[in-house]
Order: sequence, then C-alpha cells, then structure tokens
Amino acid sequence: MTGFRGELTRLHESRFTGVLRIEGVPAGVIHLREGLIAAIVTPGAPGPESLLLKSERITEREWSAAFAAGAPEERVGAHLTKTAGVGTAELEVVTVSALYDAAFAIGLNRPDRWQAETETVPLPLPVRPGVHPEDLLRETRRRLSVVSQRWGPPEQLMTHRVRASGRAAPSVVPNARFQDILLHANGRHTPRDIAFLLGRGTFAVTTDIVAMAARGLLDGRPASSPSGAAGVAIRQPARREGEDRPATPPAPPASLPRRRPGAGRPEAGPPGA
Amino acid sequence: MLIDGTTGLEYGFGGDRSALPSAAESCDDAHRISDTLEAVSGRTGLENITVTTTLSHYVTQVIPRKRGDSLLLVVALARESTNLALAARQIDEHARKLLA
Repeated sequence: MTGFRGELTRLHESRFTGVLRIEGVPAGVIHLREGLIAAIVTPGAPGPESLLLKSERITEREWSAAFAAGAPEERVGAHLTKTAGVGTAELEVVTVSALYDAAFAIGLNRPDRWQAETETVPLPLPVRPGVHPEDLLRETRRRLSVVSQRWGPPEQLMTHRVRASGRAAPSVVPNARFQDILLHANGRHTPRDIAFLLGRGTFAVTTDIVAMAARGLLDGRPASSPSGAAGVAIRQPARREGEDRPATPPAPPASLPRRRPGAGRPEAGPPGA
Repeated sequence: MLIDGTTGLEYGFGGDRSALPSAAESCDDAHRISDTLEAVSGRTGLENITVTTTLSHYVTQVIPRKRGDSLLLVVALARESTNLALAARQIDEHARKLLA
C-alpha cells in the first residue's frame, strides 16, 4: 500500500477536493475535501445510511424525508437530528466509524489501481472537517494487523462462510453481540454479509467472529495467541514508518477452509439492500 | 478519551493525551477484564474499570448505546486531588449525557 499511501499524502498536501476511485474487490470511492477524507463508499462495508437503517435507529421514512430535505446542501444529519431523534454525537460516531470501516474493507483489497478526479458530489452524511489520511492509514494498518495476528490472512477470513459450531445455542450465550452473530452463522454468510445484516461495522463483526471462534462458538480456529488468551487482543510491537503490514503474517490454521481462485468473493452489493 | 468499545477506534479526547494509554490498548484491556469476569460468572455487564497507581486513578466507563456497540470513556485523574467516589459519579453522569 506504499504507493497508495503516497497518493493520499500527495492529495492531502495539495488540499485536493474530489474523489479517489479505487479498483478491485471490493472497489471504493474516497471523497476528499481540502485534502481531508469526508467519506468512503464501498460495497465491502456498510455506510452510515445502512448502519442507521439496519440497526433500526431510524426508519426508511425518516431517512427518505431527511434525504429529500437535506441532501443537496449536505444537511441530512441535521434533519435526522431534528426529526428522527438521532443525537449529534451519535451521528458523529456512526459516520466516523463507517469511514474507518470502509477503509478497512478497501485495505483488504491491497489497492494498486486508482484514479483521482476533481468531481464533487453532495454527501448525505460527510465527516466534518474530515479525517487526516495519516490517521486513516495508521488505523487501517492496525486493524489488518490485528486480524492477521488473531486469525491469519485477513483476506481469507473475509471470504470465510461463518458457521455456528453447535456448541451453544444463541439463547445461552451471555454476550448479546455474539447472540446476534450466531443467529446468522448458517454457513452462507461472510463476516461482511453479517455486518450488513446486523447494521454493524465489518471490522467490528470480524473481531467478534474471531473471538467467538476462539471460544468454540463458531467453526474455524483462530491463530493461536502467544499469551494463550484466546479472543483477547495482542499488543502490537512498534512498527517502522512506512511499513504497511507485519513482516511475517502467521500462516492460516490448518482447519481454515482454503479459498479457491475466483470463488467466494464478496458480492457487488449489500444483501437485501 | 472516547473510544469504540469493540474496535478500539478513538473518537476524540480532551486534556493531556499523553496521560492515557492508546485507544486500542484501553479497548483490549477492557475486553480482557470483561472476558475474564464472564468466564468466572457466566455473565457480561461490565460497567466500569478503575485502576489506581501511586499517582493516578484511571477510570474506564462503559457507555451503552440503544443501538450499536458500546463506547468507552477513559479518564485519568490525579490521585492527590481527586475524590474517587465523587469523580466516578460525575464520570457516570457525563457518560449518560454524552449520547443522550
């Protein structure tokens, strides 16, 4: 991702306003304003609209009304606050978390082809004033590294069809997030699919899936932890500037299904959206 | 410091940032303690964590959300000038108002 990082840095330094279109699976569009990132759109992670609707924070009618009233002036958030009772802080949490989540999804793609265009389109829920590219890249590297260390290559986990092990029924699992995931762990959905179904972030669902597999609630076995504390995060050693990924990512566990070339890629759009 | 209780993403901070551990480390610590207690009691429901050193109190307050993953409010307090019981109450009140 070094070339991509250089491109984002260059766009930041030139205070670029426009879009950066990224090819690949998943593809994505990064919206920049004055060199800061205001939003990222990708089919690999739920956007703010999907998070708000699927989690039932707002209704379709409330979204449609707010969008119609505020989209051209990028004031959808203000209308949602006024008419749907979504607090300003809650909206900020949703939009910022969605932006970082989209970056994680695109980071799985190891982008190597992109194009910057000066077009600007109104964004329904932009992050203001925007996220600094360095902050975004640093957090994305951390997330990819966390998944690598706890499970194995993140790309493999993201195409993994999540299946309950049958060890515990959802109703007896004390963690409500785990319960929700178990209800969709039928062997047909990837972590990204479940994120869309639940209205949660792809990375958040992914980390829960890794923790659940470590407890034996899901099929598949995460990479063994040096500390022996399954499901608990591993501290990251300091990494040199410019280093994108761990030098030696752990090998996937033997029990993890192998990805076949051309198979099991995420679909182009959110299920049921 | 306000962080995401699942992903460890830092949403914002006020005051002396150097007095606090990283957002990811704070989130990992909360997970570790919650997991340990759940293994013992069979229940979740962590509300806060208070760690005291010779100089400081470190309070991590869980902020549940009606919809969405919980947040963590992480606060460092100078021990010699803090009434911990009063501070814990004020932090709890602040946390409740944050997303109201």
